Amino acid sequence: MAMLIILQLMQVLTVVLLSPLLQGILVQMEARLKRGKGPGILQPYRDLWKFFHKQLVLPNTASWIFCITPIVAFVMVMIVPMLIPVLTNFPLPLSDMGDILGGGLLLALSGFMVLLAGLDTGSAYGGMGSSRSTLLVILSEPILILVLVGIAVLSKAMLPFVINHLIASHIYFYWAPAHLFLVAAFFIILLIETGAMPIHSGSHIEIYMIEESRLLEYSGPLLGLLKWAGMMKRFILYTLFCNMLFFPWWLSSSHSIGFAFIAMLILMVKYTVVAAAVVTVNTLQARLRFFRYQELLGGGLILVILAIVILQVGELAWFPQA
Amino acid sequence: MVSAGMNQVMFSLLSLISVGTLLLSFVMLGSRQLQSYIVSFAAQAWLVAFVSLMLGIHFSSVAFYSVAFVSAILRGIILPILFYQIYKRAMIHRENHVLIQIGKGLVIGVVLVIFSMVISVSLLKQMQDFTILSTLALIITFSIMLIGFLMLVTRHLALSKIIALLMIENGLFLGGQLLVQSAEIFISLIVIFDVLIAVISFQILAGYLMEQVGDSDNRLLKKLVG
Repeated sequence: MAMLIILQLMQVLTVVLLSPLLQGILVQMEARLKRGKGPGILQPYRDLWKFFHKQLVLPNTASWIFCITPIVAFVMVMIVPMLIPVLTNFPLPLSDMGDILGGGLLLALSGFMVLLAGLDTGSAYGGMGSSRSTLLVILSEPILILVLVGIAVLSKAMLPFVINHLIASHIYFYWAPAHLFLVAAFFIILLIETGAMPIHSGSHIEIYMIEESRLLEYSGPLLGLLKWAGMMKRFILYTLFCNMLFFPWWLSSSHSIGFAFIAMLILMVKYTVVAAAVVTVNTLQARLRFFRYQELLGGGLILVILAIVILQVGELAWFPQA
Repeated sequence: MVSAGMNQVMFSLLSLISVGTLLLSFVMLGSRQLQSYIVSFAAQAWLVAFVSLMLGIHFSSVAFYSVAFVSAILRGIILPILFYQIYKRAMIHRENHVLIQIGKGLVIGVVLVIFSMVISVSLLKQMQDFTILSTLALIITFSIMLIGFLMLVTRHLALSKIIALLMIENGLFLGGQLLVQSAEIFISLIVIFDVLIAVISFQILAGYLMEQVGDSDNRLLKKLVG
């Protein structure tokens, strides 16, 4: 039991401590692809260090929501890794607190708090960012929900560990068209939720800003916390994508810390591969116009619906004789 | 039925390819660029040819091999080249006026897929012919046909109309191969050559239209010119 608790702690610490590294790898790869030098993969750690040693300045108009938001966002995102297979492919203590929808709820709550905080100070940019990101959520959430429905129909389970087991152990499930479509649709969700190109652009130019403009009023440690929560959210989405859908193998299956460390190393390799795909999209794609978001998102919706239709066909065809 | 005695890998690949065909017609539905219509039509034709090839491997029949070969050459290479010639001659390379906006069109396409799923399932229930592959093939054939009709309605340029028409033909060809055990090679070949003749005569027609009107937009045909 003690070992299991240690492993669970390791899962959480992996997400907390390695998420800036993932961000650093992404930025560095993108810089290298554009023939730049790049700030080095450890830059996010240095940034966080800098933020936490700065003075905290609060706007006059800020209320208590503004102050608690970074903490709530950070903690909510920190709970999610307990529910999902980060390092081990067997459930750990407290991992039955919630299923995928529970994890999605926690992430949504953290997003909702940031949204409120953007509106709270009454600044023009915060309101703009909040309204833009709300529109984006309205468009992208149906796809996310349908992906989860598709996964549930495919594997008859909502618990991430069960899904991981099922897809990893049946090669037939992995190569089923429905599963491949779900992977593609989740990749679109990944691009949207982690601030990648066809929707978001990394530059801080006001007409492009969606996520950044909600954080403009923050400074010092609170800004550091929010940035860190954003990196953790990206790490968690990469985890869901890799360990549940795209590459569910090579997780630690034994109760030992050494294997967990090996799984951690493999995890970073997997994420680097996914990050390479994201960086490629980032470099090749131009940002979509605001009114063309629906085309990308409509594409995602079609992939999911097709997946569910195929699954239903399979169901109907297997059971009619009965 | 085709799927009788088929091994699992073959079955998965066949269903993957047929769903890919449906996906490519969604790519056409979701795009305004004529070039992407041509590219996805060619890709669709190659996928259909691949289905014939796999059926040829499964039944080890020369007829399917030759159908695969001819349809890959004709629909995968020659027709796209003809389309590309029309494309290069035209002044407009993009559907500027679609009747239904792209996003809405995609959602309508999804509704059509679900509609054809309902239709085919009830149809197959009456026919007592209920394997996964036959159901999937029927659904995909119906949906590609309906999406093709949707494209015929919503697009105006002549090139997109003919590509939509041939997309319907692609879907029918795919469904026919998967649903009917012995797709007669003779009929398949005749259909393929018919399509070729149609496209060539269409190319001449489009050429005339562009010479006379300067554009192949069929909305212009509504005007009376004295």
